[in-house]
Amino acid sequence: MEKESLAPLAERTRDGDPAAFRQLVDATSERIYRLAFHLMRDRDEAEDVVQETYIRAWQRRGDLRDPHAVVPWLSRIARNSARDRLRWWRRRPDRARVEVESAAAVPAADAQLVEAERAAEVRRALDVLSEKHRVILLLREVEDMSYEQIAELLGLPLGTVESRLHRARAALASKLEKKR
Amino acid sequence: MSDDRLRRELRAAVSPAEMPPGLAERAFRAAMAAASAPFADRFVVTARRAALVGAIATALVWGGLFLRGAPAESGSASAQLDPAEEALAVWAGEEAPGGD
Repeated sequence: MEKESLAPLAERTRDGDPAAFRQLVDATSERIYRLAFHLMRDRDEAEDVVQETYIRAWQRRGDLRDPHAVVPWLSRIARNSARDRLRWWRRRPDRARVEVESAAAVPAADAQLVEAERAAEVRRALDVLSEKHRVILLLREVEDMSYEQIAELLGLPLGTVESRLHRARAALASKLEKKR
Repeated sequence: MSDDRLRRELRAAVSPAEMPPGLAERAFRAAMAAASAPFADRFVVTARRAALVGAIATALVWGGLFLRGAPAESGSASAQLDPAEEALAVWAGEEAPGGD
């Protein structure tokens, strides 16, 4: 569902229409989940962030100024929810957060072991990347989102998406080169 | 490092997000449930206040009735007793001469 068709739903949501809000959740939750997943890097945490996002969105629906910008508005709420959760995790004494979700299965052979080690290196390099670089890179390269979709999701101009992606790729490449 | 290679390495290291089934439904329900929670809280506070006011009003009404009603009751009791005693006395007085 595109920006134009979301605007009437956003407007009706702002007026307190639960049916419109339901449709808005259906139309946007996948994008919000992808963002939350790469912010939290944990499926359960991402799910909690998505729920928290829509709870806050419904409670603060009156704050939505531009119905055409409902996706960036939701993504801002999601990023704030994710930051709150990460802060909460950091304050916990037993910071046993689940490790980053890995694409690699348990290695069975040497070649797989090498691949798994390299994947772990990439994840460590991602860890030290700034949040804005990491998220934009993963949305583009792993989620295969278009520049336009990323721009809409993050509420950024297209030019900023392109330049930020370029810097993010360069930053990750330099960190991986150093490890070689 | 080329962009293609970087992409391959990233995809090998990080899995894409696969939205859990039913998440949209759960998120919507959670939002609706959270929205009704403040109303429930307000309802509890209002109900407590109403109960307190009701209890005070009832106590005042019963207290007032008790204070106003007690002398009247005692007055009427004495008024009812006196004729009875009088009647008994009269009966006793009448019986006494006949019985004697």
